[in-house]
Amino acid sequence: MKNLARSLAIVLAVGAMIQTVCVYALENTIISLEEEEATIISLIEFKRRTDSYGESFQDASYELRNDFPNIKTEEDFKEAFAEHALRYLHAIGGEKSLKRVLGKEEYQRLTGDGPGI
Amino acid sequence: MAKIELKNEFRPFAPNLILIPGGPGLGPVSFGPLATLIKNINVFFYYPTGTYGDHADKLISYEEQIEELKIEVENLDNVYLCGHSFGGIQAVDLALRISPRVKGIICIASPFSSEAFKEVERNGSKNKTLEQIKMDDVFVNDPSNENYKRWFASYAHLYFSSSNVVQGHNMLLDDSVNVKNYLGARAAAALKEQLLMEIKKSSIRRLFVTGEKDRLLPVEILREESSLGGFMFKVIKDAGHFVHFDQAENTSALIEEFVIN
Repeated sequence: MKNLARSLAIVLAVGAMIQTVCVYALENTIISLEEEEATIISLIEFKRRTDSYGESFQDASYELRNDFPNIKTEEDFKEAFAEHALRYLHAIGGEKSLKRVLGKEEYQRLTGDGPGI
Repeated sequence: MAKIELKNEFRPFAPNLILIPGGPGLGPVSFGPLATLIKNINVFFYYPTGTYGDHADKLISYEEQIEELKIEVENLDNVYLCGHSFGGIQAVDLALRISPRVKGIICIASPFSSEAFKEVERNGSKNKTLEQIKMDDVFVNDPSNENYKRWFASYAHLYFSSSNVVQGHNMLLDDSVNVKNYLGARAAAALKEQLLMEIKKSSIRRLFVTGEKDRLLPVEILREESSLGGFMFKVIKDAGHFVHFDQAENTSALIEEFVIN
């Protein structure tokens, strides 16, 4: 009984450590520039193919199911693209540049200009 | 290209009053009732690029819009610039640039300061109706001229007195607009607070007109703008943000008195 309790304690402790390591790893994930490049390119190529064949997104998204299981609608696609574009920018150290660009007059509409005056 | 157009019979020695619409990118149709009432003054409508049936294929920045206005006005003498809202910002800015030619400025409900623009944001985002929320989405996703008008008109309750909301809404839908003026200059318009300090130092005569029932920019906010710029300040009863459209008669009397006297 004593040995069983001790073994259980060890298993629980190891399990907790593994979980901690995994959480720590997610928070400190190093974004791979090559992976993000490949992902963005594959998303662009997918969009280009579906546009040129006139396929409905619902039908075409079957092709993405392995690499992008969460993309089922066009909105999912846009969100995934935006996310990976931001990750790419992060990988090349472009966050400040992004803020500068978003501050430019011609891009204000993306962030909202406010009521007409 | 932008243009000015005389709206009454030309009197050779009379002052030249230029009516500049807001938006940016609205046409001058809101000045229609006012223009018919003003006497003894040459009244011109200013049509920004894209607002009289001409085509605009690119965004027009704030600086470009000021330059277009300057080109139309700089050959006139004895000029009075009367701008509504964003048009008032342009009026002050242009007056400073070509000051000997400009004898007076009239700002109708124009925001300049960061406080005023915060008030615009605050009032523009509270108690939105379903139609407004829908139009926000429509306009963001497809910023066409037609959607710009519809989006603007969906906020009619912010812009017109209660008794004139329907007429104001319909007037905006009938207007000829250029969304590229809005997209190109709206953000820059919120960075012109300094103009008030500069105009205060000038000898150009200044009148600030506001509507008692303005729900976009309340009287007390605009009183502060007026004070910062050293304007004479007048409040028109039963008028909203489009003071000149809600109360054309009272506004025309005020403008005539200011310009002639």
